[in-house]
Amino acid sequence: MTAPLPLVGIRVLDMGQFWAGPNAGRHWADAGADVIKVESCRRPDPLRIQARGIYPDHDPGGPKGDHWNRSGMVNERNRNKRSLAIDLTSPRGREIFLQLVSHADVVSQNYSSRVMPSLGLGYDTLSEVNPRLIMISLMSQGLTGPESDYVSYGQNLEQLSGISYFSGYPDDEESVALALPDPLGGASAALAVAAGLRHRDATGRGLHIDLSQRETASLVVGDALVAHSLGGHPARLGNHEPGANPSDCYPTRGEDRWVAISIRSDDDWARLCEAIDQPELMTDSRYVSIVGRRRHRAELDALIGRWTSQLDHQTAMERLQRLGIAAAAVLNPRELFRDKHLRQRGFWESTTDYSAGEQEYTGRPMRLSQTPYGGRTPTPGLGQHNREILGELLGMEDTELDALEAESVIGTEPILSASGGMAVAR
Amino acid sequence: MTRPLDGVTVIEAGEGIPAAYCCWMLGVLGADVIKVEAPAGDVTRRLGPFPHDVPDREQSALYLHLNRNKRSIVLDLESATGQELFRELVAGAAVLVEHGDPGWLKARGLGHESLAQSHPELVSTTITPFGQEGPYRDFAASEITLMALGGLMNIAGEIEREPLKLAGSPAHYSAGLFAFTSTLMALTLAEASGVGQLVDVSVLEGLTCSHFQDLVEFEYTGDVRRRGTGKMPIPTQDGFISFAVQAHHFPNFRRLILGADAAPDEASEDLINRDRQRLEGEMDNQILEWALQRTKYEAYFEGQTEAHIPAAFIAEMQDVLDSPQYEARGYFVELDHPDGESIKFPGLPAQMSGVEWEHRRAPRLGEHTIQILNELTDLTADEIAEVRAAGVI
Amino acid sequence: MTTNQLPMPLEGIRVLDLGMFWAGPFAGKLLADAGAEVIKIESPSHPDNLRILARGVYPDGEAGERPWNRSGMINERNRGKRGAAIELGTEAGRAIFRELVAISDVVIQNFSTRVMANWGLDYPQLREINSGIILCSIYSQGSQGPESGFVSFGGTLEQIGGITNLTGYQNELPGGFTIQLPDPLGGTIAAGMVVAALRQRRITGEGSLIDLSQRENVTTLLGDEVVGHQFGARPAERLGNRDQLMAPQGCYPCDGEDAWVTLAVANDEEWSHLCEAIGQPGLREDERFATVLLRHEHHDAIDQILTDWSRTRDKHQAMQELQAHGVRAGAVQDSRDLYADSQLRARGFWERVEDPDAGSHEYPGAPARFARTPLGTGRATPTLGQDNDYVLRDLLGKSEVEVAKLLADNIVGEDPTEAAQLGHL
Repeated sequence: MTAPLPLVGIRVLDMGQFWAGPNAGRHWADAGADVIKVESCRRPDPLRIQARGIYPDHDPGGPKGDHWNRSGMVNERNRNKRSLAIDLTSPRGREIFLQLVSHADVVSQNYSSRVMPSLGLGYDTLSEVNPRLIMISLMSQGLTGPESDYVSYGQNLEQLSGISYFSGYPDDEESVALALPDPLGGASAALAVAAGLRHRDATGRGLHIDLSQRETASLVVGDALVAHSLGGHPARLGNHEPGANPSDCYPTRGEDRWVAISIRSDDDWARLCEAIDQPELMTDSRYVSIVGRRRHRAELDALIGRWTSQLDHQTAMERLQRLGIAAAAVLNPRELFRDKHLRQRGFWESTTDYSAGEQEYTGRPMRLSQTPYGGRTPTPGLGQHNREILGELLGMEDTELDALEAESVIGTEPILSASGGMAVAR
Repeated sequence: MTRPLDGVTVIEAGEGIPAAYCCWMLGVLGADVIKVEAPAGDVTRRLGPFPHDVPDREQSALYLHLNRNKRSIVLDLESATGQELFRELVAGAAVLVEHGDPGWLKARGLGHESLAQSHPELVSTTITPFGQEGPYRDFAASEITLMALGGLMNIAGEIEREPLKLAGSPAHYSAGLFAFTSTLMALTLAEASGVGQLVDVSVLEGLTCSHFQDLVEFEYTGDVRRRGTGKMPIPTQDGFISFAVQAHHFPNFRRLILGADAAPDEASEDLINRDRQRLEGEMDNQILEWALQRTKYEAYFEGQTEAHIPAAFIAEMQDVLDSPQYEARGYFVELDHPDGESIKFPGLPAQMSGVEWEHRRAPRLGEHTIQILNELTDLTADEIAEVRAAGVI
Repeated sequence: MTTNQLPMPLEGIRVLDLGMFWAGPFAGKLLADAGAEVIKIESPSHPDNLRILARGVYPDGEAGERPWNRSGMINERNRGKRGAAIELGTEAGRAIFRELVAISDVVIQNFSTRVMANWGLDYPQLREINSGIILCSIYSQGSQGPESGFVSFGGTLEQIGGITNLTGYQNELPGGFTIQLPDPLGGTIAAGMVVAALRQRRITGEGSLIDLSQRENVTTLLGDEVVGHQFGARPAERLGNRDQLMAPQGCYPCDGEDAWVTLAVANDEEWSHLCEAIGQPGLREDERFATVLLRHEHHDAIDQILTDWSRTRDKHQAMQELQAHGVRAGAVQDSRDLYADSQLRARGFWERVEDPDAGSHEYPGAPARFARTPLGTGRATPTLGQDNDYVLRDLLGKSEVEVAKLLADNIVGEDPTEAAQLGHL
């Protein structure tokens, strides 16, 4: 393993906040780019402040009292980056940012659509400073269109994209709320920028990528959209996999433990009969065919449930998998952390956080055979690398940096209102 | 318009020539033929010839010819669901015709005995190379090996050389014809008595029934007929002709070639024990001269109309397509080709008074799957969608 | 339904079989095998040609006293029928025929196109006698068209139908070789059409005329080439024993006189089996033969290799060895081989018939096995006029006096006329 990481030499100014933007930033950082998380003390990544109580051992303050560096959701998705906390609303801050742009390859942002232009940092401006710049705007609904300046979060994008329509029990109003569009948007953005870099190699010019999270999320339900346009009536399927009868979650031993089973062919059904030690069922005319299994669903589910209830979910999964049946234990977060398979793959990576101590986070979603893909440094503290970055890239001296700090153009602590919320810095 | 097989539903299964040919004819006679194809489609879709030799499973000439007047449903008979659906289709049909390895349907729980349990009027016609039992039952076969075993190659070709096969696939077509006739006979009985049966057609046996002389000659005299030296076809201006002159044709033939004033030949008066081959041989030069003054069609026409002798010309494919006789008979059927032109297809070689045959193009793979399932099963739209998602249809 | 005797499929159907030679009589035999009462009607002045032109095919080669009842070809394809000899060349004879039409269901004929019309026995005329009559006319080229009156035999039909042009050794002229397939095929489709017409009659109450063209039947067997030619596909060629798609395919000499085995290989897997079968597994790696295209290209080389192997084996042995390795193979069988063929024997294919005039012989049986109602009658071919009495007295109710008169006037007979016996047909 001696090859350099793929994006070594690429510098990204990652203005992303919440999930999608930072998630994209982490992809680039993992791949070796120098990703600078651009935040400001007046307006840090909101998840540093709205941490929803996710602190180590429920203790926000910790030994240093810097709760904004101990937020679990921020620390999970900003590793391998450096942090610059700079006030972009101040003329000096903006000027410094523009100087940094000329040293960068990529600027990534997922603010709502008015923000960058109102900061005087629209693509026109940035590309004048650096014609080779690749800017990616990870908008909820894109840069154009009547809804382009609507504000949104992952959960309502889930609804707008169609994912919520198709998710949930068929007989129920409720849907899932996974905010799936966020990581989807992040991954799509990572790919889009890689394409943009290729474009730049070929043409010598940068470009502006307009990525709509709603659109990328809709890809997940693309087949249903096509089916509808062909005159079909795709509907909410609950736990059902089309063509697999039955496919569902069955209760196993213990509280709220389940195994998901997918019987994808008549052969799978025959093997299931073997697995549950009831070979005589193979010739039971009620269940031999897909149609029969659907029509006698109630008896079938009871039959399978009786078997699954006697086992714990891992055992049920292993027994079925041994016979080639698609089965999976439904794992909760604790179980995921302990999962043998994931552990053996080295998926969980241990890190010493900036301020949150020794923690384990999700590791690499992929392995490259020649490069050491993975965690190198933990999520930075707010503004942790202010001096390093400005000194290294812009040659600023300590005295100038002290002045910037005194004027609160750069800093390492959020400037909060008395209520503890975020200052409105406009 | 009434047709002989109105109200008869036929299920066709398996692939290849014989069952398809049989069921095409049943379809022209008015039966509702449902062709069950595996997801990969009938093998004849892959054999061509294709337009401009570009393979396309909807454009194979062999498939298009053999599968007109049918509907196509795709069913994966390897799966229990597919087998159950097949049962439902057969339950609504009078006839099942199939061609495949012996016992292939039985191995999938779809043998005649099993199907007939709930459907005793069912006629199942099974076509195999050698029949359902016997030492050759599981032998691998093809057109040439069947013609060889059936005794037809032995008597074709030149004695100084290897035996010769006839062009095309006559053994398989012949089996399809025997299946056609046998199926109709069994159907007649089933409709009259309510009792169907298994009809077992063997390609080899069909061929063995198709010997003109040599089998009975051996049985009666012990002589084993060999192939001859073969008559050379006679060249004309634009192709070849031949004469199949029998004893009683000879005087006319002689007059045709030598002219009406030719001196009578006493030898040619003896009708039965004449050595006509020698006599014909003596006229070789004159025959050649006569033929070269004419086109093949002229020679044929003249030989037939002036001398009433069995003259024939060796038709090339364009001759077949342009035949004035076929034109007068309305034998060819024109069907639209996706390219826009219409293509001539062979029609049914038999006309029946009071009936006009209808000819419909061959179906696309699985073209009527949903329609057939809606008609003949009680599957809901949801169930059909599921079965489709599972790859069974 | 219990296992009571089921009726034969065509029980109760009466067929008047005027067929001569092969196609017509074969159709009649198929119907007889299925239980129809088939009455072969021949004129003493012109019985079925094959009674007279028997080509020496008599038991032990001996014509005997009444050769017309000992002709092998007649006996092979007219089994199970009754026979009446009625002189259709006379008005009186045709009158009897009309009486029969009134009580029959089907008439089969394969005369040339003008004959029935000249006799006043065309379809409209028969229909007037019996509106339910089905007339099946097996013509060589159908009843309409400029060539409809032309004379033909199986071989000539193969030529004008298009098969002969595609048949022949590679790079040689089209074969004048004929195996007369059009005739049994014509007879078979005719029988099928008759059964269809009977069903049509059950629906409509009316009979019909079936007008069949044997030439068209031949062309239908080449439907893929007919369509392919219009598709601008590669032109069909005479390939001898080779094939457009399969390689290798051919006919290879075996040990013994005029002994051959055929084989065909459809894909690479089968090629591999063949290499093993002939004891040369190394050939599987031979680059010359690795794909079907290459095997086509190097077919001559393959033929040589296969010939070297086949020459050392008896043809049936070669077939068995090849089959044991899953190779499509078939020995070229002659008539002796067919009578000895173990598959046909195991199937009980041959039918033994006791014929008072020709002796006890085995003939080919029915071409399909019916599980509940086995086809076949086991009865011999009728001698000429054998059932005259049954027809005239039992069926038509004629008195002994009437019958004697008919015999005396040569309207009905039991022997061919002298002229006919001499071959003046």
